[in-house]
Amino acid sequence: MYRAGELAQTRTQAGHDFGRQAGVAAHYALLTVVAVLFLAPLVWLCVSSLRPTQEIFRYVSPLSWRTFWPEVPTLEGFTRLMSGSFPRAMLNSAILAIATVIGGVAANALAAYAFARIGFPGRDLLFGLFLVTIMIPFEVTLIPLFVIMKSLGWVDTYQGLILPGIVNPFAVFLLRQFFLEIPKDVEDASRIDGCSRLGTFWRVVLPMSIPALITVALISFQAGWDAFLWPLVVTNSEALRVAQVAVAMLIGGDAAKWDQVFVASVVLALPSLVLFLSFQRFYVRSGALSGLKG
Amino acid sequence: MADAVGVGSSGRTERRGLLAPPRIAWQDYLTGYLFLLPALAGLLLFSVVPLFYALFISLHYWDTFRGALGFVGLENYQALLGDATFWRAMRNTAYYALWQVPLQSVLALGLAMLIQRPLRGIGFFRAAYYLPVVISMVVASALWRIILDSESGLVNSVLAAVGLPRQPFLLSPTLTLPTLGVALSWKWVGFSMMVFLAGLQAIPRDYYEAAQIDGASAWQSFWRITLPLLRRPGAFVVVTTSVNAFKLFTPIYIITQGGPQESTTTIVYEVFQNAFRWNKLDVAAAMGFALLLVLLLLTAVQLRWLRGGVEY
Amino acid sequence: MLISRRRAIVLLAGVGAAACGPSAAAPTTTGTAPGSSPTSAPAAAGSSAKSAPTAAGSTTLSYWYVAEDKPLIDGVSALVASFEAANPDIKLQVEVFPFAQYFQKLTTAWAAGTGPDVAWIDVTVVAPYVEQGSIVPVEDYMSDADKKDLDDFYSAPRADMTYKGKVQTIALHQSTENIVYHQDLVEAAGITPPKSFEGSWTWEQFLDAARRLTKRSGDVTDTWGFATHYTPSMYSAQPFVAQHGGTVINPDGTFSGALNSPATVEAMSFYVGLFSKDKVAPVERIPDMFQNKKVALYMANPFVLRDIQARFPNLKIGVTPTPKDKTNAVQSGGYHIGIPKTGKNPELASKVVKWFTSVDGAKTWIDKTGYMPARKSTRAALPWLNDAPWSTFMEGLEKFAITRPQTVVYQRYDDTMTPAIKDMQLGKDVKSTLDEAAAKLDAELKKVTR
Repeated sequence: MYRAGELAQTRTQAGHDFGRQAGVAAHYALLTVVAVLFLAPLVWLCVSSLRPTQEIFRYVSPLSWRTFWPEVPTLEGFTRLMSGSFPRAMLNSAILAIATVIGGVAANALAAYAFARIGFPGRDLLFGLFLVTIMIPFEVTLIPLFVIMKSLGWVDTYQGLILPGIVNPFAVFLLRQFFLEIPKDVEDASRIDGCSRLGTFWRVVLPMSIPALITVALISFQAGWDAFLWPLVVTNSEALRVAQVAVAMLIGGDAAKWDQVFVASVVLALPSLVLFLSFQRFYVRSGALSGLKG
Repeated sequence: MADAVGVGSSGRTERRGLLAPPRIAWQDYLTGYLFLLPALAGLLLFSVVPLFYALFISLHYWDTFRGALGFVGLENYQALLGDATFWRAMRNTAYYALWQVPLQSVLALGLAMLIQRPLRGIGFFRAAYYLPVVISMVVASALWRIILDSESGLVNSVLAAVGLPRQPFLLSPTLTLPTLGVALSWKWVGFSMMVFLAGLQAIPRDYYEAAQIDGASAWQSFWRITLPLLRRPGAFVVVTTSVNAFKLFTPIYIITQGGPQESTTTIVYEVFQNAFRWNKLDVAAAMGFALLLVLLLLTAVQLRWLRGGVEY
Repeated sequence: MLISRRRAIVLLAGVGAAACGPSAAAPTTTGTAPGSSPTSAPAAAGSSAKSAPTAAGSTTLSYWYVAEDKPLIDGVSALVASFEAANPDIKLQVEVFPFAQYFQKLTTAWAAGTGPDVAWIDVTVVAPYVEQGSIVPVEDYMSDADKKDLDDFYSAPRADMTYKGKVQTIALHQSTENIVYHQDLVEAAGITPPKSFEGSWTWEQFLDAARRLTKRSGDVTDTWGFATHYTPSMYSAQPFVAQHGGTVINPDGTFSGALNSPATVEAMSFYVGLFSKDKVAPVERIPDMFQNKKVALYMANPFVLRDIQARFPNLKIGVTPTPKDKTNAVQSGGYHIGIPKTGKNPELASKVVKWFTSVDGAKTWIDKTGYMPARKSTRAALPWLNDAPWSTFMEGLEKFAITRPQTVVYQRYDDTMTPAIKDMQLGKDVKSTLDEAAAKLDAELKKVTR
């Protein structure tokens, strides 16, 4: 509340140059302090991943320059991590994330288009069903879903790992909104030219919806890459283990393997960070919207 | 939800137009269903059916290992009502939500106002505050476990360096849950912040100018203009944050395992333990259903309370 | 895949040989185990497709085990290599889990009708697993010669392998803990730890040594007097209870009156007091804290000595017996290896079990890991077992071994007591904590046996 007051106040003093400059400086100072609070833990994580094993906790206390920079930065942690079963876990995570993106974009976009543009009996009722399921937390259906997977023989399989995460009613909602905004004339023109529904969808609607599709792809990627509870439950063998679960296992032992945890965390965070920094605009939007799903 | 209803009605009018030439109707029906099929099948199999199946399981004696062993009616729910562990998890979860939701919401609003000003380089700060949102929960949990350690943790090291006493952040039954609340706010506040920022940017500038001409102070403008007009994004933030708070699991699994002294057992953690460690699928399903009821009730109350006022 | 296929082709000749046991058709059959439950059959059939023979005559069997320490992982690798060399038609797919997750993974997999063909099974869960029908008795696949060979096992592990009149699993080794210490640290503190159980430390002497070895600068501890290798649990606490004359379970299988008896409360108070009151031991653990000399006295299994030999060869270390109070007591038990009912081919799985626990297999295993042997012949074959520091572990097992409680709610017992011990280490009242735990476990017991 204090900040709000200060902010508005600087605005009222707009005429006075000195006051204005001081206000701007104070604002930057505050922004910077908060940024340090947000970034420091992440920076410390990255730096720690470069420490040799014996040095990991040695210089945490008392505080000194060594707390923030390793005496001899080394990549030995990376080498060790990559020589174990972690690369396989990374691969599984990548498979899960990419399959979720491809499957998610396809299935959700088709459904969204049907809801937006095609008329058929029961459409509004079914759309209502999609909206209602946004409210069902995954944690509630976890147990029965496991039993269903068990009876399908899908426990510890890729289909069991991937398929439940494909359909995202929220993405359907989002894409439908977007499709509704595409001028109908464009589609009609295409259909008069003899294009089928699918052809129109593929050649006209999708190319015009790239931003929305990127947003949905990002939601799906993040969901697949970060998934933890479901992979923890539905996979058991090392062959199917995803990276998030692998990291949890590194921490879960009698004495957590912190050296590897640091490195693995950095490796895991990297794709998310790169995607975020390159698609920031869509990302923030997807983040703001995907929150509905929780 | 309100948006959805609005769009739904516009969809209806459009359908009438499409249906005008009746000859192609059946083709459209078929195409529509075919387009819908993959998503609908997934939704039914992985969301709708499991929801009812959860209820079904919770009404049976059901062992993870041996499967269904007989119908028991509401016995599992009755057992929950008398189970101290369940109530403890409920209480812990509610206590955590009561602290974390206001914390994150207030911080988010403050940050949104901080980054609203179109200064040079503000994009960097927005990205920086949002960054923890894209880190996975597992990685974030690992990070907190390390930096909050009472012996080898960075935070305690900093406290000691400025002459403050070290704190048993993750070892004290009174301190651990609130500490996790702060940690999770760090993780998610960027998300709520962006929602508030969108809300702030939607408030017309002239409202403030008019207020200023009327001699209103900055403080008065905030209370009389900003806050009332942020009701909708505010409701969204409070509801999503509360729902997330009630589903707290990953940091518990990774950092505390419910301790110290069962002060951080949460409902979802108990669901997991019952189902996959102690073979009690029935108890787990009943707990999951209880969680659903709590969430629905909570969301309904919050929406009624927060959505009442000004719309724009 | 590539490797296994190539190997399969190269070694195709072996298919018909006697060493291969069942014919090539056998690997894919399911539910052939005597008494295989009908409920698990369909799921098992579904999962078998995924690990069907990779090439003509070659079968892949999955093998799950628990390890967080390098000597154990190396030991398993060595035995897997020797098994695959001798059985070219069988490939082992090894998967290692940390202790904290292993039993949950096993339960979840079995519940779904999947899981490994061969699995490590802790001695404490042999009984519950037989009761819930999760494992096939190894005895069903043993010849008379195999049964005769069991006489080579020490009596304690031999007894642990039998439940309901049948040999269910085979012991890999014996697990036990004593105190490993840094020679230079104790010398600097003017302490001479006793070498044998004859003159082992009393609790008072042990606490005094731990106090003198704890070094602090400000509120940061540079060296802890004492620590346990495993996360403190009943595994490390129970010997103290026994040393003081306490028990953890009643003869009728209930807990109240035993787990919270005065003697148990006193012993537990001493044990957790090392962490809470005396502050000579750390509650929060970091890896290699002993190897990096942040701990002076370290309660550990002998495999830790192997680890130190391999990774920290310059450290000078010794072993002193676990302290005594009214009497001496050391932990016993250890992992067995068994055949899960959901496995695809119990016949082949039994070959793996026998290979790992054979006279030669056991010798390799003990030599690599430094665990204490379950077989008498292993001790005869490995002279170093009779020398210090290893001899202390053997002596303890022979004279003062105690066993963990046999109960169907063992998982609950462990899941209740591990956090309870942590709470007590952080200062929670011992009496009330043990009262609560005993009541909770008895309530659980009632539900299970309803």
